[in-house]
Amino acid sequence: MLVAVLAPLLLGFAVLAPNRIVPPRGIAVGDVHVWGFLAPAALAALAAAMLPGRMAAIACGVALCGLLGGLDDVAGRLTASLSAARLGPAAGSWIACGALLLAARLALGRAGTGAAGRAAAAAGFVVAIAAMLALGLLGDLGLVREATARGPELRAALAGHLELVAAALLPALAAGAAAGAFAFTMRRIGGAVMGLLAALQVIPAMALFALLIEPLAALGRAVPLLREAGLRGIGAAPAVIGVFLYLLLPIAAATRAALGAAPAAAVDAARGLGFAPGQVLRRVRLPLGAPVFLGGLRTATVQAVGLVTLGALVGAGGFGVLMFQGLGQFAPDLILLGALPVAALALVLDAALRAVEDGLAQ
Amino acid sequence: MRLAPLLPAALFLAALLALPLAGPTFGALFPDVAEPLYRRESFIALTLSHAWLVLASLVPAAVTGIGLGVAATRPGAREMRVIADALVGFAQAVPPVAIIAIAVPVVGFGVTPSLIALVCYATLPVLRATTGALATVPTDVLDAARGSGMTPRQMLFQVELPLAAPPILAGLRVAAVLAVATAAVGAVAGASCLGTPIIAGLVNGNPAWVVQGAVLTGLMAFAVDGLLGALVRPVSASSP
Repeated sequence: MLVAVLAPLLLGFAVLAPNRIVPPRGIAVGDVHVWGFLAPAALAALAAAMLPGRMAAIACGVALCGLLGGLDDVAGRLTASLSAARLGPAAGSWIACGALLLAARLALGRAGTGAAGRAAAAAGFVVAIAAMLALGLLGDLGLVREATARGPELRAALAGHLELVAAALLPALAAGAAAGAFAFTMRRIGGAVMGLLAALQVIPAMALFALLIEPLAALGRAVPLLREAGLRGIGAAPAVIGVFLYLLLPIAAATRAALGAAPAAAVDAARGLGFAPGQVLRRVRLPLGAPVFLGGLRTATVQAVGLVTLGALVGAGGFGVLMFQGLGQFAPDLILLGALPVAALALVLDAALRAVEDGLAQ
Repeated sequence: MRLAPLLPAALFLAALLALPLAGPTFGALFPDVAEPLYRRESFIALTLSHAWLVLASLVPAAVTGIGLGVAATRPGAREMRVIADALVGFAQAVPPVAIIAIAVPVVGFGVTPSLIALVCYATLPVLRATTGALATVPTDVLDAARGSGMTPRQMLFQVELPLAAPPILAGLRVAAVLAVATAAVGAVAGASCLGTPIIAGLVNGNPAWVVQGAVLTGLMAFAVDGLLGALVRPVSASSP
């Protein structure tokens, strides 16, 4: 906790860039007077070290909100008249944010909170940040200014990202489940299929996407109908097909494990009761295997969100576009605008599916 | 040792040596491209810097991964295990390319952002394998070791780690393959590696360069996977 308090003091509090060309300059805590936000934040951070479990997590959240509020206050005062100026956290403040989030997670772990409780805590934090945004308490931060300026782009990126994830995940769900079921029934050939899917995982995503471009372009040239349907070399197609291929293994492996999850005794008992094979599958194997399958679905979903980001390199949409634009223009806020939503999206989907899993397992 | 695991490595070497001579072939395959062969840096130099990136991250990753894994499985280190769980959970959700991109504003372009992401992502499989493997050491073995008067340190080095070695090595293999892939992505942040021709090709609309970089990157991943697989198996066969 001391880290969270000391880091902004020692390693820099904020960074101010008057515009994109002038190199940014650091701002120390002592240069500006925002104790109205920072003093309570520091107190909350220190209190978190002493309070028990859940209270500590809340204190961490309060401290984080205070830190962000303080940054915004500075931003409001220093950049009010400059529309191109961007103020963001410096290394010290970033470390403090990370330390506070980790401390909150630790406090919840210490209190023995389950997946649903953690999801609720995360939702509470998101609501708090949203409330601060709505009240205009964060509006002057560089990241928020950039987001406001690029509202439509951001919405398009979110829609594009989700579309690409769905376009890869849904077919992979069908094909992967079929492959898994096949591997479960036909052990020997199935093993070879799984080996092939595992070998696909070894190919680096960037290489696979890149290698898919040319065959798809050739296919598009050869079949004009496909070309009209949007199949060109560069674009969404190589990314979607590539991600689809990567997702097959987690889904197929989870399906195979799920079908085998029912204890042999339970299957025998059902057969003894006179269940037909279809009934055994529907009433014994599927219910008992559902949590295992959901685990695979969760892995696949989180992977898809991350892999789609890389798809922007080969011309697919999504948050990766903003991220690579930011890298190209050396615009830190733009990079974060692409990277943070990807991380948030993955964490949210992970937490949600984990909560469903816990619910099913009980 | 069987020869099959060496096949990808041999293929990779063959491709590496043959590519500089394949200019006319690529010229015929991609007639629209003015410069069909990537010549800004030799493929061997790119491979060496790629391999350096992987090795430079794998060593610290192995040390931290095994160290954290051992610390997290010691009795009374529940705190450490929660930290390890939280880190693994977080890093699984955030793609490596995001870490590289976020690191660029902080440390600048070049090799450093890739190294940061590489160390983070190579640590995780090792950490997970270590905690998992140490947790599966049978309790009666541990009791027997304790009963024969071993100190906790002796137990760790003479009983637990040797028994847990095969899964840990398997984790290292996963980490190495992941590192090859992540290092390739490092090209977007300006690291010189086998991903560089891919990025240069995409930026300049040169599909031949894209194919050259992608083929070498893919073969390198298979080569590393095969070589480490060959190393891992004899160990698991000889361990008690």
